[in-house]
Amino acid sequence: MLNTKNHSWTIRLNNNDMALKKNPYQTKEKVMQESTIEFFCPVKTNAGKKALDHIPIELKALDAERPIVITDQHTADKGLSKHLINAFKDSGMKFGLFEGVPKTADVKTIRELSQKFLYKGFDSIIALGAGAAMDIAKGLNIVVSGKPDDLNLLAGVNKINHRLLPFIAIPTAWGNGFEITRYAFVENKAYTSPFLMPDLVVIDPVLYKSPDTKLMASTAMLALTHSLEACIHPNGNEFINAYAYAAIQHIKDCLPKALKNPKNKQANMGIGNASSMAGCAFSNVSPGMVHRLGKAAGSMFNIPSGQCMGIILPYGLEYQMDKNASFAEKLFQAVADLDTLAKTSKSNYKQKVIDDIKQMQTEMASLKKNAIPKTLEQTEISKNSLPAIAQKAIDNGLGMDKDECIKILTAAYEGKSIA
Amino acid sequence: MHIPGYFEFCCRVKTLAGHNALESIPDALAQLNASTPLILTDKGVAGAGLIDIVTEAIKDKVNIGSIEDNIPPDSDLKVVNHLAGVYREKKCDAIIAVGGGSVLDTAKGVNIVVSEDADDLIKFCGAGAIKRPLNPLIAIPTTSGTGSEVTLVAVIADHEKNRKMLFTSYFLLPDVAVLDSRMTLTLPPFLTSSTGMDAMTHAIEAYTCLAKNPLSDTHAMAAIELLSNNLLNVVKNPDDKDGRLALAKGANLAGIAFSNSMVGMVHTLGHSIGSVCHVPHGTCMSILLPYGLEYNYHKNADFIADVLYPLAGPETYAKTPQNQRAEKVITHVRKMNQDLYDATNGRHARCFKEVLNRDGQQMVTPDSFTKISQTALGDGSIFYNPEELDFVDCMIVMAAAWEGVPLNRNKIKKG
Repeated sequence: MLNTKNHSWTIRLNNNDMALKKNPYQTKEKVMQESTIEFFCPVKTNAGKKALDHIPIELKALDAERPIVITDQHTADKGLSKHLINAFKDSGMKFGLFEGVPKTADVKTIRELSQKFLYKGFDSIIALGAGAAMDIAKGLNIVVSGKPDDLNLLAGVNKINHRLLPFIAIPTAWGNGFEITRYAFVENKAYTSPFLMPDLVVIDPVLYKSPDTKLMASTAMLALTHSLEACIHPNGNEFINAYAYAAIQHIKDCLPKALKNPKNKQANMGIGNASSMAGCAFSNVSPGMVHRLGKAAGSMFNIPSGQCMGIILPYGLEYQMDKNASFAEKLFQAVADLDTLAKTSKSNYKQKVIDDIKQMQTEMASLKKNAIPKTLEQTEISKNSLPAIAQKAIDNGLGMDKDECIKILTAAYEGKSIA
Repeated sequence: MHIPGYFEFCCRVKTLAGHNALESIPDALAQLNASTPLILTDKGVAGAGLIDIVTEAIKDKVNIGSIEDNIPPDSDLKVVNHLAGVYREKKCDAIIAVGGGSVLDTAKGVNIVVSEDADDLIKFCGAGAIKRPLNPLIAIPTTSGTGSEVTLVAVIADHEKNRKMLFTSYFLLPDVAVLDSRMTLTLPPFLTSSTGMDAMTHAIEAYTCLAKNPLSDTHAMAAIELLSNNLLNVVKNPDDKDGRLALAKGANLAGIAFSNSMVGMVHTLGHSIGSVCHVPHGTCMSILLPYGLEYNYHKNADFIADVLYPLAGPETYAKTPQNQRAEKVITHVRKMNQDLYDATNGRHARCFKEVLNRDGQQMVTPDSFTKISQTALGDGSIFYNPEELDFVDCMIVMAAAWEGVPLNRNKIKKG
């Protein structure tokens, strides 16, 4: 959960964030003028056919030769670890394999793994699979790169001030979308640091054969939310946009194909690419409003948070576009292809952005199997819990008036535009 | 969107950009656990007063180990070893390189020596021989062109043994690139124009050549837009700070794009003309860019067509029919060269016969085409060009680019 008080934008107080705290929707132009933009993405991406096979070479380039491979039971059950094991066949490299990651990351597993890690002389970490495997890997890396107590000491924002050991992340189609970000969540603690981002993310189509459509759609919508909110973030810049745009293009291109044919590996892998790229963009800004509302709703009702964000997205963006005239153009630039961009008049940007996202929602909602809710009403969330969701988002750092939050949530509940 | 079967993308350099970006260096150093930087530069940069601006911005917060402004344009191993000695003697723990390619290559060499405690650089030569993070390195470019602040290569000459050593490793990437408008504000118009077109070439070749990928594409498109919107304006109004910063960002984005997608024949021939006739790189790029597009037109017109949007803007894109957009890109690039020629009183060359040395003599003459074409065939970038470039075609392109006439596309082979 992102519920530590010292969350990123209360800690990383530069001038922009100060101004933002007072008025989150102040125009970007005013804030940006005098400030220095910053972008950092330490992640190398290897994506496509046989990407797994390059891992031994990549490890050598990172001066590592003895990795521990961490994966969750689900990934192991699906028989996916064998693809990674095969990749090591001709390398002569020895590695450890741990397939016992629990459903959510816990301290106990990290402690056990860290003893193994040090005792057996591992020098790097490879995480294969979904959220918890990544969180365990990140937590383990904190411990084995420093002192055992670091897991307690370094919780919070930007407390990690040194490079960690080589870490390779291999996401699969069962992720929560947070795999390739600067965040790690272990029990009730959140860790935020660019040093938690993997040195390398490997996206290989063999791992995207038969995904859970609902989870994959959730990952896609989380990536879309992160990308679009990064494009209108006050600290946004061309460098962040380069990752966000690429993520959005992947989603627009691949999500419909993946929904139509769940066995389309290329399309499924495209969602994996999008998730990773969006993670890089998202790691350079503080979480946005749709993210925070969706995260609160998801955690309270045990729904994948990407699904909640996907439902709230058009309404949250509509609200933000109404507050700031420049947002419609920024968002439209992010979602539209060149031809649409060139022929659409400015006055239509806002509606086009909303229509585009609602179109995706409709496609997901009309699936014969695995239909995905289009409104909050279609989920387990009850209408009278909306104020509690708003409150939770605010408690977790959303700097907005509660009634305004409820207005957005109500629109998303009913599937009606914010009047 | 074009998704290749397999691609890699990596840029681990942190970017700081702004009119006061230099002031962020002390924080950046602190985050890298460093406090005593060695500042490396050349006489030209120091003479232009740029080091004074850098030191003024950081001196209250960091302890500058030493400022060494003696890096020659043909820097070599001896210089590297001498500077490594200074680094150790002054107990430095980081390097700040201010300047262009030679300064940054030297800084990377010094960093290998001091980080690996190496007495012989040759051990680290080649691809991937450096396997550990080196000491903190901050790069401050003083032109908006090469994008060398985001490249993972270093070339160090060893004049005594008469050899060049090439180093390639992700650990050679600087930790931080600082783009500050004050660093390019005094760059003369004709250098601004040729370095700007150098960056433009990086971006356009990155987008249109064979090893493109979705991330190099978005970086390239952003670069083209920034460069196109600002280059001519800044050449005409050198004091435009916002324009200067936009060019610096554009060149940086272009550098990220091409170092992840490789480049094509504009670079193939450009490198060759540079080595045979010593024409500055940016000039070669400006002149050859339209020819590279014409030459590959039958292979990648669709990709070239996309470039029209960031290059000429939405209105031109919208009113140009799809099947004429690629042509329009070529015309537009030629027009940019013409506008830059006019804005620099003819110093920005449009064709090779216009490139003169200090004595007013032509640097490229038709009798050098053979050697240029032969040399080009050995350049690594040739593999990423959409159409297979051969000797005969090199000669045809050279003849057209020398004269400044459009390429006769009927004459070239189409594989």
